[in-house]
This record gives sequence, structure tokens and C-alpha cells, in this order.
Amino acid sequence: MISQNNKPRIFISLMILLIAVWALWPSIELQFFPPDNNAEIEALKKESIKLGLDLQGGASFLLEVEIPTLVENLAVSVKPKADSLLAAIISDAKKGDSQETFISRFVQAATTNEIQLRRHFEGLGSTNAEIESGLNAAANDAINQVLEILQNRVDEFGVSEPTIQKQGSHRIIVELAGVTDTDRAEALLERTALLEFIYLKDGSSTQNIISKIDAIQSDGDTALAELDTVEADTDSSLLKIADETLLETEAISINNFTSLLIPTPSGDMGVPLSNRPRVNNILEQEDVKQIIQKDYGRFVWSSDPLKSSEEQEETYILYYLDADPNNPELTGQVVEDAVADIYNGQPIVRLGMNSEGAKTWSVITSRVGDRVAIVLDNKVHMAPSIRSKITDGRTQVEGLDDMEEAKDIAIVLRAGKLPAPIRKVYGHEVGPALGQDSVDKGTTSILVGLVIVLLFMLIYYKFAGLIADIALIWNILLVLAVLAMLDATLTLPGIAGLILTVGMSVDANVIIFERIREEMRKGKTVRAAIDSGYTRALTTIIDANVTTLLVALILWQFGTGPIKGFAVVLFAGIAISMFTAIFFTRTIFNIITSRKQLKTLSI
Amino acid sequence: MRFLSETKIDFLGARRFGFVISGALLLAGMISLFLQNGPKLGIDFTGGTRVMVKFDKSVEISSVRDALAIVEIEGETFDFSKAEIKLERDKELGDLVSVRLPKLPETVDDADEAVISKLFDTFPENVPDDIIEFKLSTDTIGPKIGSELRGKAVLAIVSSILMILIYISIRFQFKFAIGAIAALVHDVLITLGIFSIMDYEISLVIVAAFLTIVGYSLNDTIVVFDRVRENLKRLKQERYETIINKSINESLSRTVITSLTTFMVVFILWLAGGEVIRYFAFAMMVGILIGTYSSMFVASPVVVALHNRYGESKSR
Repeated sequence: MISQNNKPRIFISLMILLIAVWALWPSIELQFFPPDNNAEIEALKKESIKLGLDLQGGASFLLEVEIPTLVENLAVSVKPKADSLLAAIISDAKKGDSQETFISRFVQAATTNEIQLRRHFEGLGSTNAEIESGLNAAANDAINQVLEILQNRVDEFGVSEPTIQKQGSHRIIVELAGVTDTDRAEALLERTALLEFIYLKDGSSTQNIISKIDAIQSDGDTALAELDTVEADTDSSLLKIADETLLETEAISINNFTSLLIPTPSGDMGVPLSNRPRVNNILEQEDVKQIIQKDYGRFVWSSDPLKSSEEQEETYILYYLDADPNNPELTGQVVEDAVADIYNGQPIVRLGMNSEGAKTWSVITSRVGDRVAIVLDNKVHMAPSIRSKITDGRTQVEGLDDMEEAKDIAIVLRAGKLPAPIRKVYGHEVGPALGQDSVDKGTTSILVGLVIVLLFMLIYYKFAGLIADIALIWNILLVLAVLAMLDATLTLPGIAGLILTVGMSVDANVIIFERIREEMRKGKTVRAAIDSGYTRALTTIIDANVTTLLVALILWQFGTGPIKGFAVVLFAGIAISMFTAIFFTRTIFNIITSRKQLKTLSI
Repeated sequence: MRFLSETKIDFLGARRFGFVISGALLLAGMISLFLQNGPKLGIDFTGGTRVMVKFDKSVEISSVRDALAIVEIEGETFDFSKAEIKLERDKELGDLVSVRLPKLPETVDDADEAVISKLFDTFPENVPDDIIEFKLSTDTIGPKIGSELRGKAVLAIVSSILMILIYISIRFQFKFAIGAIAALVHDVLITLGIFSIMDYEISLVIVAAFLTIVGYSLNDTIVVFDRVRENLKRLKQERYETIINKSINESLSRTVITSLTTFMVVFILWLAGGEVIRYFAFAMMVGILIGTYSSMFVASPVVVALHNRYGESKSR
């Protein structure tokens, strides 16, 4: 009877072993046969088991929350004159070297210049001193919020067990274990993730503002005078470099605004990359800014250049958006879920909004025929015409570089937007938190401990002990394979889980063996003793392990960081050790007892 | 080979002895915790100061650790060798060492400066000429665990206990569930108390060790209970106490072997794992010992006590 069941059992066991070795192969290759070139090593690292910050180290970033921008965002605009005065003292206070004292420098400057801050910061207090403490509290709140959002982003990024700590009053240390793609991690951390849905101005208003700007440009003197203070657009580092070099190399002549634009097939304003710095310059001029503000307008660049043939110069679209405060306002805060997907072969992010967002979105989309821009971090990702009213609160973001970007954007949209932009102070490699010395000592002692356990089982249970030993090694192998497959990170808490797994694996076999011994003492034959030993041990093993499994499940659900890692290892370990004890060792026993008529069992 | 053959130890008869030991350990731990205003939380929970220095030539982390074993601040000596000390490498700045110092009593000033000058003096060959260049930054740092996580931890504990109660009540009986939870709480509290008495800090890793203890304690208790369940069905005529005693004795061999093997692993880790890992291994060692003890001397006596008080109103 039993021997008939053996073949599928052996087959399943071998299959599992094969899968485990396959999952672990990159780690084995990396450890024992490292390739010579770096690219291959990096590729292997991605596939192999990741060790946590405590065991291996990783990348460390120091990020700074930009308090001046936060203050700017908090300020309510009053009158153009008061606004520009405020902007002037903010940019003045920015020049100080420490951001830590920015707020007090800012309030001091306001006091010296006799600016009534309470007009700009309603609700924070009436005197400047009260407003200072109000701003400080707001800054503190913002930083704590940033901490939490970064935590969520990093968790979703798949780097488990990061360290995220506040340093000083406005800086944040982020340490990520085994991150190989530092640029991507950095982009993910720094992204503000401000998502907006804004109407485009219609053709005639756009034409109108262009001619007004042209009129100012023909009055060239003011324009040239303003140029020094202009900063290049900082959409992306690449563009920034392009902008800066162009600013330096080309003699700056202010052309007529229209002449910098070329119409696109869709009827939008296209701007060749080489014209972009000049367009930015014009838009940054004070009098241009003022007429745009008066028109409740806002110019925003497209996220990507137009698709064009190779030879043509990259052309970006400049959108003129309707920033009328009376329009319904909709931002990323209403996003309930965001998933990366492929649509027509292009990476997109599908968005779902909460009921409040869905309501506003249906109001916005009731203007059929108009165009609405989906703006992420001040870049227009798409500007479709509204074809019909959308009532289910669903939409999507297009214009993404690749699937990775789509995934990252989905992550940041789910985690929420940062209350203030953050800036990297530095990013570098960091060694293991436990110190290499402790890691080395710990690894050796665990291996020694394991060998002693293996020897002990062999001596105590003789041949059956060998089976238990094979089961134990197979167990550890499978847990590690599961970690590699789940892309989980092994840390010291994870090793605690692994030790418990070793204990449970040994325990399951001990329970079975002791039962078999008991049955044999009662005078049963080897086969019968094994059969009833397994049957009786089964409920014990299940009950003992299922409870721990439940605890692991809850920890997995609620825990973040190291506790989650521990829970993953514990869960995988116990599930596997149950399987091993009930299925795998049984198979071995079956093979032995089916081959010959055993009179005695070495146990 | 066989260590224990057919033992007939009267575990329940010795339960008074068990209660005295558990009571004494719990009391001592609670007094210590009370006197020290709760467990001594490490830098992961409290935050502290991060000092970052720049080396011209890289140093071994173990020698940095040795150097920080004795740091004098205003005549007092401190040991920072177990702090989180990391080697960092910056493309522009080169070899850096960061040290996370715990919060010190308010009377101690300038621990960061003391650490910086100690390192500066210990490695004259490896540091820049000027201490100003050596010292990169020193800043207060916040805890690694936010308050949000603490709330989640409470939720996790409560729901774990509930799940255990429900599962054991279904598979066994309600009084067994109470016995298992009592043993579990007993184990964690005693380990926490011993940590307090030894003046060891609770770090994130120690929390993981405590969770391991919970898993271990549960596993051990349920194996004994499983025997009890089986024997209750088999030996209906026997007295309740006798059945439980017999069950503990029958599973004793297994309990000892399992505990022994797991203990060996953590014992060696404690012995040779290095000073940073030592506390972690210590918690696991204590947990395994207490967890084994409690399934015999706490969980089962609680079941018997509940049985004697409330009888067999609900089916056995």
C-alpha cells in the first residue's frame, strides 16, 4: 500500500528540492563562484538573498526637508505687492547657511521690514512671535509626516527593514539595505508626488496671453535687466544641465515669445529643447509673472518630449492651465489606490479615487469637450479632451518612461504627497550596523551550533537521527529559498526566526521519533510503529505549529520593519518544517521500510 | 540512546515549589522594573546622538569598538563599545565612521566631543591633521521606532492573544487556552524582569527575541497539552491530576531533547557571538529555559486549578 504512494512522494520531494536550488542558485554562485565583471555581480545580487542593514549594510541617505518652500506653501497670497515683499524676505532668509534657523531668520526679517505676517499666515497667531512658534510647529508636523510617508514608500519599494530616523530638527536619515539601484531609490525618496487635475485654458485665452507676453518682450530693456535673477527650470537634472549649459554658452538674446514656439499636430505649443531655457527665462520675468497671475494662468511643461523621428530635435509641450481658484480643486489626496499597468503597450498608472474625489472628478469631467491636464510634480503627464462625464472616480496617468517609473509613481501616489519638498544632502555606502566583526563571529557560532545539533541528533537517534538531520538541512535550505523568492531581507531578527525554525524542525522529528520508540516498546513491528507513530504525532505537530503560525501571521500583518522580517521567516520556517516532518521524512521512512522486511529500526 | 526512561516525577505535587520560584522571579523582576521606571529602552526607542567622523586611512571596526570601550567624560568612565558603530564610504568624503550614542543622563555633557577626541587620539596615523577636519557632524537623532509602530504593537499583541485563545479553545478547551496564555505571559514578564535586573537594554532585536520566546513557549506548552488531551480520552477512570502528571512525564523526554538542542544553538551564540549579539542570545537562552519550565510548572497547574474550581461543567 505505502510503497505504491512512494513514487509521487519522491517526485514531489525532488521537484521541491529542484525549485529550492534554482531559487538559491544566484546566492550560491555569488558566494562560491563570483563572476569577474561588476555588471554580472550586480545582476546576481538582485537575484540572491538580501542581507539586512544590520548584517551587510547598504545605502545611506541624508535628506533635508526644505523649510523655506514649506513656509512659502503655507503663506496665503494677499496683494501682489505684499506677496512680492514676502517672497523677497523668504529668498533673503534662504541665504543663511543653516536651514535650522530659517524660520527665526525669516520672522526676524519680517519684523525688521515691518511686514504684518498675520495677513499671510491666518490662524497661526496675531503677533510675529506667535507666528514664529506656529511656523515651527507646522515645520515639525511636516517633518513627522515626511518620516511616515517615506516609511510607507520604502516599505512598498520592497526594501524591507530600512532605518528611517530624524536627525536634528529637519533632516532625515534613510538607510536602505542592499540597494543596488541608488538612483531609482533616490528618485523615489525625493519625489514630492503632488498630483493635480487642472483644466487647460481654451485656445483664445492662450493666444491672448501669448500676445501679451510678446508685447512685454518687444519692450526689451526690462526683460534684460531681470535676467540675472532668473533661475533655470529644474524639472529634471538632465534638463537642468542642458538649460545651464545653454545659458552659459549662448549669448542670450530675448526673442519674441511666439518665435520660440512651434505648433504641434495636436494644436499645442511645442518648444524645442534648445528654446526651453529662453522660454523659462521669459516666464520667470516679474512682469510676465504678474500678467499670468492676473489671468489666473499657469504654464506647465509636459513630462516627456513629443514622439518624433530621430533627426528632429526633442520638443516639449508647454501647457497653459486654468488656475482659476473658483474651479473645482482636485489633488492626489483623494487617490485611494494606484496600480501600474500596461495600456496600448505603454506603461500607465491606474488611479481610483475615494467617494469625495469621485464626486469632484465627475464635476470636473462634466465640462465635455474641454481639456484637463493631469499634473504630477509640476509636469503635465497627459491632457486629454473630456469625452464624457466620469462618475466612478477612475482615471489614469500616462506619459511615463518605463514600467519601473510607473511602479514607483504608483507607490508614491499610494503613500501620499510630501508636505514639503526634500533634498538630498548626501548619499553613500554604509557598513553593517552590527559591525563586520560581530557578523563574522555570529555566523561562525551559528554554524558551530548547527553542527552540534546535527551531531547530537545523529548520536541520540542513530539512523533516524540521520533522517532528522537531512530534514533539518532541507528545512533551512527551503526557508532560505523562500526568502530569496519573496525578495525578503535576512536580518538578525530573521536569524532569530531561523533558530526557532531549527528548534521546531528538530522538535517535530523528536515528537515523531519518541512516538515511534513508544510504539516499538509496546511490541509493534517496525512498519506498524512508524505508521502509528506518525499518525499520533500528526495532531501534536499540527496543533503546536498552527498556533505559532497564527502569531506569525498577525505579526506579518501588523509589524513593520524588523518585526515583519522576523514574521516572514517564522511563518515560512514553521510551514516548511511542518511539511518536512509530515511529508518528507515520512517518504524516507517509507522507502526504507518498503525495500526490505525490517525487523529492527535504528532509532 | 535514551536520556529519560519512563519517569514518574510528581510535577503537580511540586507545583507549590514552582509557584514559589515563579513568584520570586516575577516579584524580583517587577520590583526592578518598578524601581527603574519600566524597562530600559535602548537607542532604537529613545533616540540619541549620531557622531560622524572622517578618517584618512580606513580603520577596523573592532579597533574602533575597543577604543570606545573606555571613554572618560568629566571623570566618569563610559563604555560605548556596544553602540551601533558603522563604517561608511562616501564618494567625495572617503572613509567615515558613524557612532550612534545613547541618551545619557542630563548631567553628562558633550559625550559626542569626548568620543570624537578619543577616536582622534587613538588613531593618530589614520586621521586628518586637524580635529576640525576629523569631526564631520554630530546631531541628535530620533528613535527608529515611531509612536505609530507602538500602537500597532499593542494591536498585534492583543489580536495574537485572542487568536491563541480561540484556537486552543476550539482544539482543546477554554481552560487550556488560559493555561497557555498564562505560561506565555509568565515567560515574557520573567525575561523582561531579568533584563531589568541585569540592567540590559531593550532594542529592536531584543523585541524579536521576545517574540521568539512567545513562539517557543506556546509550542512547548501545546505539545504537553496534546498528551493531556489524548490521555484524558484514554484514561477516563484516572484522577485529573494523575492524568496530567502522566502526560507531562510522557512528553518529558521530547521536551528535554528539543529544549537542549535549541538551547545549544543560542548558548554557543551567547558564548562566541560577540558582544553586540550577546544580549540577543541571552534573551533567547533565558526564554528557552523559562519556556520549558513554564509548560510543566505553570501551564498545567493553571489548567488543574481551573478544573478543580470550575469542575467539568463544560465537557472535558
